[in-house]
Amino acid sequence: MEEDIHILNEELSYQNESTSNDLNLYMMEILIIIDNFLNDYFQDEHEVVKFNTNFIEDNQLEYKDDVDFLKLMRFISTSYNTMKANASKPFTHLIVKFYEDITNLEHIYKSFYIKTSKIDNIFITFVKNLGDISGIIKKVEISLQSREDYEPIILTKEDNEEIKTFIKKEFYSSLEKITSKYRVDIKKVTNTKFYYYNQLFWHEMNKDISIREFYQNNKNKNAKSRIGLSFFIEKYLQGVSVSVNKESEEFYNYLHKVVKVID
Amino acid sequence: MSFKNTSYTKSEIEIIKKAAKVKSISVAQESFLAIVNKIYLFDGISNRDQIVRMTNNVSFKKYAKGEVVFNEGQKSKDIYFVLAGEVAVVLPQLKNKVVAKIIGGNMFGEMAFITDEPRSATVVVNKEPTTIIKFGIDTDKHNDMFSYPFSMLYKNIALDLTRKIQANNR
Repeated sequence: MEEDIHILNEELSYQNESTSNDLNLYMMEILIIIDNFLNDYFQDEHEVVKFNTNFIEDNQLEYKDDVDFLKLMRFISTSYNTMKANASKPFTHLIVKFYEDITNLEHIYKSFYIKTSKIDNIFITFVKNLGDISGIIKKVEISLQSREDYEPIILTKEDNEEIKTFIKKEFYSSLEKITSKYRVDIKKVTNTKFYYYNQLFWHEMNKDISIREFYQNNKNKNAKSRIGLSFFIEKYLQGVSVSVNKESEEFYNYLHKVVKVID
Repeated sequence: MSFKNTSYTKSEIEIIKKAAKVKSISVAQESFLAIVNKIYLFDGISNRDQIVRMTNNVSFKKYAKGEVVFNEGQKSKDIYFVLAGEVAVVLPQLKNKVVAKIIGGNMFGEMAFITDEPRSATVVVNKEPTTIIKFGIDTDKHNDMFSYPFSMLYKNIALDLTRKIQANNR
């Protein structure tokens, strides 16, 4: 019986020439497949953004993204370790936990950056998972067969080519959209948490007599900075020679700007 | 990717929020922020954190009638906002002729902020009580991280000066 239906379907598919409407159905189904794949592929990022957005909003914290703390990680780590070595008493459980939290978020951002740096590899993974382009077309057909209004069609060589081009174009376009979105969202929640950590950390450090002494003994006479992250950025800027490449020049320029506004 | 959910207790959240508040805002700044929406100089700048960082030396003062806020020729770039009351702008070289009256909800002193020149007139309190907020703008912070708030601030000053010229021409 099933075989009879299959033969019948095959006959029908030969009888029906594909029209642009039929192809549109294919395209729509392909978009859903791409979407599902990308949502699965970035499931972890989705969880990170969702969890941290809930954290910020449920606790009525304000989003803070003026300062790109992700660029300042080395100063945050250095200051944490330096203060830990000089503080008169051990850090509170909250500071240690918060520091681990932001370090973890920074790691997530870095991993995301690496994961999305080779977009061709993501496309290859997509195609391989579905068994090449023909596998994708088969998946589309299986999915379409469940629709009541679907009538099997036979795809011409041109149709196949059109679908292949469509898959590639739409995949890259959707990938670009989703990576841009997560890049912004992860940065936003991460920088907000960094901001609150930075505020809490230096609030606590300012209360510590040993840290005050450390600052008095180490501050530069002309330093404008208070006990805060700017102290470490200023120290760094005083110690580095003028950069030779564009990337580090941009970084130094950013530090010169951020040192004035961070504390 | 290793994703670890870190949760915080309610009391920890309170400590975090308190530290953020204490660190960045002085008492005067806090009062200033409470009424900043009335100061049109900051129209279009919704980020309170940016306003805190852009402003400095914020002070509130209640004046008696006849008290001088500043004298002509004085060097200062501070901006003043009349919260309540009235001040008169007088020109000592014209036998203290009153050239303008500024009532609550308006600002003065912004010209010296722009030109960096000494005050061009004397400002005297005209009504009692008059409460004035004085604040400075930290132009050191004017870089591309703060380009939007500063562009809004300059636009608002331009609008204010234009209105004053228009009123003067009428």
